[in-house]
Amino acid sequence: MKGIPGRVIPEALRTLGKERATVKYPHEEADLADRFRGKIEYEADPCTGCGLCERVCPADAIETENDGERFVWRYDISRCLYCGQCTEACPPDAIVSGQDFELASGNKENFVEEYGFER
Amino acid sequence: MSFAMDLVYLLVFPGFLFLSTAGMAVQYVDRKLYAKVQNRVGPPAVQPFADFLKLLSKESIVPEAAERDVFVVAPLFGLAGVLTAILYVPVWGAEAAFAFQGDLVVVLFLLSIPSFALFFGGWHSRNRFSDVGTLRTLTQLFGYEVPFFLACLAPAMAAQSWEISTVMTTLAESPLALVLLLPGFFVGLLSLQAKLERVPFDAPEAESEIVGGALVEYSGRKLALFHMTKDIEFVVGAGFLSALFLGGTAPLYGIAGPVGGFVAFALKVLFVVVLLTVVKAAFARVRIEQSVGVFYKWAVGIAIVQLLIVIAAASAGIGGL
Amino acid sequence: MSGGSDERIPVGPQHPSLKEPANFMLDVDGEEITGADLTLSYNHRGMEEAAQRKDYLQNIYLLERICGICSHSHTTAYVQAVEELMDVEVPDRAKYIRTLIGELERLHSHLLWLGVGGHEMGFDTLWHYAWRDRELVLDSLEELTGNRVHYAINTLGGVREDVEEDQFPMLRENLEEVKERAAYYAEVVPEEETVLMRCEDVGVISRETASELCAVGPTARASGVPTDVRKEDPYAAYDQLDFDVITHTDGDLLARVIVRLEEIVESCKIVEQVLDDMPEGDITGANRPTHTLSNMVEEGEAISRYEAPRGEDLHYVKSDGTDTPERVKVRAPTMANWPTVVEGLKGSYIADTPMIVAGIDPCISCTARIGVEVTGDAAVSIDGGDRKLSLDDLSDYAKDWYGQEVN
Repeated sequence: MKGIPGRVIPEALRTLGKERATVKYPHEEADLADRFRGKIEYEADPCTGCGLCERVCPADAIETENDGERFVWRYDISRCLYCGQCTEACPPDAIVSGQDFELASGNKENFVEEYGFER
Repeated sequence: MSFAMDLVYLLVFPGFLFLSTAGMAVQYVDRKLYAKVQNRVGPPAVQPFADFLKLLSKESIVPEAAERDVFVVAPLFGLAGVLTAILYVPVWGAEAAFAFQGDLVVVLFLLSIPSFALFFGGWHSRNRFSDVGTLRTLTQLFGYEVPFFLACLAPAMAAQSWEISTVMTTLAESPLALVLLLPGFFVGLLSLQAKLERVPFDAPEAESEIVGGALVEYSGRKLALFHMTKDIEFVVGAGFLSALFLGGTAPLYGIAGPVGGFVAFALKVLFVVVLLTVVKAAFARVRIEQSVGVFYKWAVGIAIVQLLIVIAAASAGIGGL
Repeated sequence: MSGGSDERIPVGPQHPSLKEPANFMLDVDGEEITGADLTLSYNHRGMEEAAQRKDYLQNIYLLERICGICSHSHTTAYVQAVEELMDVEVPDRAKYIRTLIGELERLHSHLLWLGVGGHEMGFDTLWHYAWRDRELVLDSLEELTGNRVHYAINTLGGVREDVEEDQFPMLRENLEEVKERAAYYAEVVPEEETVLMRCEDVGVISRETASELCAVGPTARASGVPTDVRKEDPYAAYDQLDFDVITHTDGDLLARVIVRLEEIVESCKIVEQVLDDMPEGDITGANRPTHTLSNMVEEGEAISRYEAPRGEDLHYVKSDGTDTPERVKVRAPTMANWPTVVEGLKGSYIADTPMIVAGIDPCISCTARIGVEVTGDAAVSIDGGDRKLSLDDLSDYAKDWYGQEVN
């Protein structure tokens, strides 16, 4: 017998006195870091309709429509990778990363967000 | 009156109703303590009961290739074995429900029936994973049965009786004898862990290797009965070991009657459960040939040394033997 | 079961011991394994084809998702290859940050492996302890990058997020605790008797065999082959850091456990050095907005190597001057280690299969890459003959196989 049987027992008994490592989510709130990348947040006010966000998105989650009179910005949560590249590319910072991650839904229509404004 | 009393013993206490509840309580203690040792939360107290109900509600499939008759009867066979065994273990007083001379040997045989039930059920499932699992169950049986029998022989020799109740009351009167029997208790614990197929001796049921071992084709009601058999085996085995090595229902039955005796029994069973749960948490799973090696190299040796100690103490007249 | 009869036991593609689908058909004789047949590629997702359709910047996020555990390895290797073709100078601070995230990733990967290895052995307590301590590393990564896995910290020319001054105390505190726990595991795990019983002399691979089969990473180092890309071909900030290459001589499973445990201790030292010596400066060397950089990649090809937690990760990028790559080829470290598994399985027991497979720290998602050329010699032959197929032929073949309409 080269080892010690039950080498872990002292640590095991010590652990009985420690506070449990599990977090009681969702009864307790999740503790997120400041930089956590959740769902992106779009504001129509600073948006210039340049379409850079659509061009850089790796997952084709953002679609824009521009017919000269009306600009529509469409975002699909189910495709988004939450990488934040659009937030970097957007010149007037109309898109920022939010902290929302509880995005599950039973209805596919809830995944698409759409904003439009007159140019 | 006597027939009605017998029925109460068989079906209510210490029979089926008591044992199924005790089995669930023991499963809860085991899972909760195991979780706490691992810094987790663990399940709530109703979890074993909820699991049992869930299994009952699922479809119980019999594979087409399996031997239908044996496949269906196997779980009942094991359950019957352990339900009968409790009748000879003292649970509340100085005497077990149906005690008689020689019931120690009978209980030893009855406690090995669940392993055979696993063998019958698993072998006749005609599944290559259950083939491997069943063979491992039997291989392990050859490993732990000999030391288990030898270890349980020691208190019988010390008390010079083959009746569990007599062994318990005789040994409870001399605490020194109980100290001398500690090596046997240790061997008995290891063998009980292997009999129950718990880590480190759960090679027959190794989840990460052979999926489920002997029980791989079982589902629904039959699987619920197998799980219940394992829990009840835990209670009966712990009660058996505590009657032989820890004094059973003594000394409280003398002080506080049957209630006191039952409390002593429950506490000692809990103690054995806690010991075995810490063992389960502290080790990795050993391979089947290593498991047999552990039993034949160490357990048999310690059991034989234990017998020699008992013989020496008896001839020297110490410990009240 | 009659003795001497060869039975085939399938381990996989769905099996409790495997975290990802892979098929091992084991020829067994009783409990002993006489031969093994591997089928991988259940996790083939067409990453390399998809990479040809996206531009260089978008590919960072695509290639990151080849694997969740070694995601930073893939992005860094890819970005280093593209930066060679791009003629951009990555500032020192960015290199240090890449190293920091890379070593934190090695910490979390090895701790994850320790838990998975413990679980395969039936040692669930070790599993939960290792994963509890891994949470400290993941918390640090979340503070630094914004995500626990798939950090997306790399960009063409540097990194996207800086390490702020007020994050250093938190990082150091977490590191101290991980160091303490790592020292505990490195001491206790090789001393526990049942671990020794399961791991010693299991799946032995000699030094010659490991060299011959081109094993990489901790698998090779445990057999005594001192191969480590961080020393052989330093990238990022490794040429300025002081660390040892951990090797062991036995080549069995226990050696692989010990090598990884000591690498955890070593990585803690490297992270400490990085935190102490972090230079000031910019975090990106490009003087244009990042989303315009895809157009600045010149024609040519580049190879980049990275020491992922599992071994040497190799990325090949071929550019034709446009903003999408012409070819991206990924050779993940697990791909190089599979032959050692087949070698290790022969002559051992069924009970050791999950352990031997887990011993190389397999990442089947990393492994499954098949290259199909669209023009020229298509090197895929389905029926073993000389028939060569183009992408469209393959597509028709697949539709025919599944009984769908072939147009």
